[in-house]
Amino acid sequence: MTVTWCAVRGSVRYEARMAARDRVLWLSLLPLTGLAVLLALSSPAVAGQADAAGRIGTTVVVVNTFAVVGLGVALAGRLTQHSRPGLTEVLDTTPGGRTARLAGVLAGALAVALAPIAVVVVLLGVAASVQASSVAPLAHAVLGVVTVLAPAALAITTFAGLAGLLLPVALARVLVVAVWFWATQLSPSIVPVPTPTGTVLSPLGGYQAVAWLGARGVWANRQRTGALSPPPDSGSALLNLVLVLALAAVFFLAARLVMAWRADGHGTRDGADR
Amino acid sequence: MNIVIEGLGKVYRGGHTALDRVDLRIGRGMTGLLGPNGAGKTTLMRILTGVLRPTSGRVRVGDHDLATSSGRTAVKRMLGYMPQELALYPDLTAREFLDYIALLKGIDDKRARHAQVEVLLGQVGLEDHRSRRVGGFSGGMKRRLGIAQALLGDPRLVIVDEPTAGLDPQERMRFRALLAGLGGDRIMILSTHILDDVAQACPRVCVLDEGRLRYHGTATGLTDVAAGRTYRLRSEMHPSDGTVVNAVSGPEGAEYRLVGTPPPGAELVAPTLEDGYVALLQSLDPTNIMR
Repeated sequence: MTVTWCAVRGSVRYEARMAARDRVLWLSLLPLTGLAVLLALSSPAVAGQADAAGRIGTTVVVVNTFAVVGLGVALAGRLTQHSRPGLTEVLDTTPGGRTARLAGVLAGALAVALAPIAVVVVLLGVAASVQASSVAPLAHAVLGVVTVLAPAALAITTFAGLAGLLLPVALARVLVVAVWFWATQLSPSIVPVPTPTGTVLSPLGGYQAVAWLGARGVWANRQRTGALSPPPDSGSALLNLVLVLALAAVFFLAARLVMAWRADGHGTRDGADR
Repeated sequence: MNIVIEGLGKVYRGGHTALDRVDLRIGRGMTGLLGPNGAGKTTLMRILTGVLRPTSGRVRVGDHDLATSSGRTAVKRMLGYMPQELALYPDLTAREFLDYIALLKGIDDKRARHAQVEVLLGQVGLEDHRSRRVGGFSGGMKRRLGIAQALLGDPRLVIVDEPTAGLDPQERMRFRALLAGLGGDRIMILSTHILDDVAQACPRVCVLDEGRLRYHGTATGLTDVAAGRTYRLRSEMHPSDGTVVNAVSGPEGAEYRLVGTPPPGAELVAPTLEDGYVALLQSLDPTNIMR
């Protein structure tokens, strides 16, 4: 096994352990996940759908809207844990490399934070499958976790990590919430500012939910405002997925650059003083 | 294996010169790195660890050139580093922290890794605290854990920055004993302001001041810089001549230890490493040691 892979493995393992011990994570994640489930169960958009599998598809989007933002809020402080003066020097002198470490840290934190949300969605899928005597709702729940929740969570985790590196953590958390709702809920028809909401750039997962999970009544199905808002089908769903992952990659690389820049003595008092 | 440093320079943003044309060769064993605050010690050490790029010059560690990415990675594979301001993960236990760093160092074999972690916990006297979270550790325990992480993977090059700063005398003695046993076949660089630590552990010494290498040689050689220039004086008044290295007050005034021009009544004494260091800085710039 290479040193790089060993560093990824170690970072995933111990970041997951530290994230699991982080009270802020559970305090922000569990109430929002509960709220998201309550909103989904009482949502007319969900209840209005005849088929159980489609209801799960819409539920995934509602959960994505409210629970995943909690994940972003919780993880905004995680990267700063690893870039504190006196620790970053120790980590940077190990041969595994900063990219491997950062990838492992984000993956470890994401795995822990996404787990309760994924479990709730899958349990809702199981309940719906039992009720409908069909495996389709469960399959949609699993597919929803993979194609909607995980990519959105990855995007918000990398963004929150970057924001946490650039701003005080409290401010980064506020920014994460603002940007999330700007990118997923704010319609230009309500507030006249450019927004990714309803477009293939939005991490809401509406395109996947409509195209693959049979959801109705979500942005992708209602708002078609131009070239960036094509009709929801497999092609646009795939495009949305790729773009959200690309966005996550951009945030990841930006976070890595910030960490490298700081390690070289910029942006801190270290450089000038020594 | 040697470290060869040629014409090394580092200029930070804003034009602050941290290192200025440093030429140095460091061999096996313990080398003490001394200098006033802002002398460039930490910059030099960070360059040697491969985390900071110099502005000019080159550094070779054994066969590896730190100017290349492969050279830096190779050096990191044989490196143990303990920074001055050590921060740890408060939510991990001592054993978990060391296991994490061992994985980052590429120690993949689980048994070997765990065995090494246990040995090092014992070596730094933390075996009874292995399952305690690091957040509850005292400053001394954290520094001991810091040296343990630096020694993971049996590194050939160990760099420790101010390892005994802030420790109580007992912890310091324990730390010195630990460091003294580590030199041997590896290159060990110890940066500190505490000259006692260097005097007891380092046969060779480098002195940096204002980014320049001012002395490189044996500790005895540095001590000899103050030979014939170190005095003891009992006086009720602060001496007007010479540089006071230390003063001990007593019922009949204070006993001063001075380097430089002797005041009337001063008695010549054998110098210590501290006297040699002060004499060296004094010879460079009489106002220097007042900083």
